[in-house]
Amino acid sequence: MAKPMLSAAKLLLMIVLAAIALLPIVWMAFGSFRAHEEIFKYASDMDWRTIFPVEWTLDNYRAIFSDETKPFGRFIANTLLVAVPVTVLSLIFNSLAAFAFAKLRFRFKKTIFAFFLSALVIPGEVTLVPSYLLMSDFGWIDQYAALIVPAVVSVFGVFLLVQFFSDIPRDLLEAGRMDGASWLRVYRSVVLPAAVPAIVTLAVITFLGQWDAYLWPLVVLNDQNKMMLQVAIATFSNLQVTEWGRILAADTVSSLPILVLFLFVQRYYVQGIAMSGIKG
Amino acid sequence: MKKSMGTLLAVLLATGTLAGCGGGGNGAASPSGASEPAGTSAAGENGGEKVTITYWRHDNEAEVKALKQLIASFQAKYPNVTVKMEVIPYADYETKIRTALAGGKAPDVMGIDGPFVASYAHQDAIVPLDDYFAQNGDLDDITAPVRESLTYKDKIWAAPLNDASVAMFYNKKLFEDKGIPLPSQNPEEAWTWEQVRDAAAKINDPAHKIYGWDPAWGLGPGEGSAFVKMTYLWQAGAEILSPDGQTAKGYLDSAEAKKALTFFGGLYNDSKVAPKELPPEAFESGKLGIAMNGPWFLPVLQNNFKNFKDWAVAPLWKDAKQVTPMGSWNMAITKQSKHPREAWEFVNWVTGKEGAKVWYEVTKNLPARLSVADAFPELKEYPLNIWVKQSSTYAKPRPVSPAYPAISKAITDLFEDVTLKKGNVDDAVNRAVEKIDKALSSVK
Repeated sequence: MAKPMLSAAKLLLMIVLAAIALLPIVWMAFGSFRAHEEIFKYASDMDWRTIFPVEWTLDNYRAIFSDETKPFGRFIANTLLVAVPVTVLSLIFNSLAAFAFAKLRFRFKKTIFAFFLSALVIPGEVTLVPSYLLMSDFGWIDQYAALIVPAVVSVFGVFLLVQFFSDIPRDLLEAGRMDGASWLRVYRSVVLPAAVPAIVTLAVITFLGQWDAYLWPLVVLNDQNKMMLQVAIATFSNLQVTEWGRILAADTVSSLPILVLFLFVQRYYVQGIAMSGIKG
Repeated sequence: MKKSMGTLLAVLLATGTLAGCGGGGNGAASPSGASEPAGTSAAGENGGEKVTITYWRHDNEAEVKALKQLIASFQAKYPNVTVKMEVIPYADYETKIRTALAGGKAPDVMGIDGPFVASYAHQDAIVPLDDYFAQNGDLDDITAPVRESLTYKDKIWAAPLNDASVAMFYNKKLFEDKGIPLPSQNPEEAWTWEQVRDAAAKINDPAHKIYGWDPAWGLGPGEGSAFVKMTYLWQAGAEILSPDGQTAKGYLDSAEAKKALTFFGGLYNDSKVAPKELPPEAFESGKLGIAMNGPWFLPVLQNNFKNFKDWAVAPLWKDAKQVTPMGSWNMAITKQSKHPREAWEFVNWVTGKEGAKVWYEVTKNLPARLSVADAFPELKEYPLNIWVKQSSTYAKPRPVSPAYPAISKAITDLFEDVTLKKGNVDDAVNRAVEKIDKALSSVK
């Protein structure tokens, strides 16, 4: 008797938590169909108008996509142009490094790994100016290389994959070695297929990180035609006025790819988090 | 986080850490610049050499539109000069420009908010414009408060795009519903603090989500917030710094300053006519009786709030003195620029007598030039005449000091401390004086 009650209570609790998490997103999405004037008009009294637009309009979407001085479609393309290569390259580099740290035996491995991991505690803001000077010396200011190359190696990504790779029995790898496979072959044929959830998780995190990147693209890119998505959205707020309608529309559009991506890989993502979490 | 980033960079730059790097970065960049002639001042006059001027500014639709027009006409006049304008989101403009200065990658011309001019000048990031102004800049045409606000160590460091001022905005309907007599439109007949407070008390009805008065753009940090809060100190008759700009002691802790702070805190805590948390865009959605804003608010009301017609404008309130805030964005030439002569011709094209007229027509910003204020009849009529009159008669510049970023922060913190009752007014004032004096001694 108690059991169904308990699971019903659990379900209810989960629904409430999900509603709390979803509310701002729903408000954003519906808000993007309101005229600027209406967005905050009903925000302080709770009734249906707090969430649902009274007068639906597509003006905000029309405004962001028809503004020739701020080609929104182009900003999305720019962001993809950076986020996709970063995601692909970072998977290759980070998984190789993680493989070495997790499975290979070499001198000072633990020390090097500890030293490497210590970089996790350095906040990005501290390295902003030194990184900028380095990019400037490379002649990469105002070029996508400045966004892509430094983002390819991620300490967190290596750490995540090391946690996951540690679970793969070494015997399995030794067997591959016995059969005459090189370490690189073992990595490709044994480790990678076993680590799909972790790889997918890292891919989503990396892509999302690039999609949402703000400060670094703001600082290293100058040319407006190269502008990244989040920086472009920030331009809708200026000294005199914040164009809430356009911001909500732009945010809604920019959430869609992430949402779709997540729907497809959700299964692996949860697995990836759970499994690496157990070990760590 | 973003705000603290700017502050961090400001501190680094102030202490010379980054300025040192900047020199290095400049040197490293010289291979590409080595082909440029060493004496750049002559380059503009022969008119032959192709020159590109980069110009960075924060984003604003109307202003960017005006600049595109002015850049097109400038390039038609000076075919050898190409101007590359790069627009940066306002919220992180300082972060970006200071990082670039540190990296030796600053633009030739930069947008700069009035009170930060001294800080950039002190750090040797921008060059004085006196000689250029003397040649063809019509300096006398610029209003006296604006000139004063851009003058540091007897030199002028930037050319103003426009001025700014704020007036009282009120909701006519809320006034009439409560039978409150409307304030005069005459800039000479500003309401006193007490008159505004009494009107606000009648309107204030938090139970029904109607609020009386937002006296100074909330309580948050930021330059806009400091810009309007300083006026309370001045209106009461206080000063922030000594006339020589060396200390806040004896000025910010005066009886007048404490009176202003006590009045301000009382609005939130005693009469409670000002809410500590205000719904977003409260005035525009008819939930706020009295606010303050500049002429830039008129197009916002007309474009984004077409159905809201209850607003009206009156002169900014006063106390012992009638004082209004002033100062806006300017153009400065960086020391890193390899083409300061061409950069000046561009700056003067935009901010000079003719450019300023185009600027006003497109942006409707309060002019910083007397000739422009004369040229447009609408500037002599309600409501624009209120800001124009205030900016020429009652405007007071924020302190011109290389320590200004710290002063601005200390002032917003002070008003917040007093309002949220973190200790009494005396303690809060002493803390602010201490912070400012420490910042002043670090830039001596």
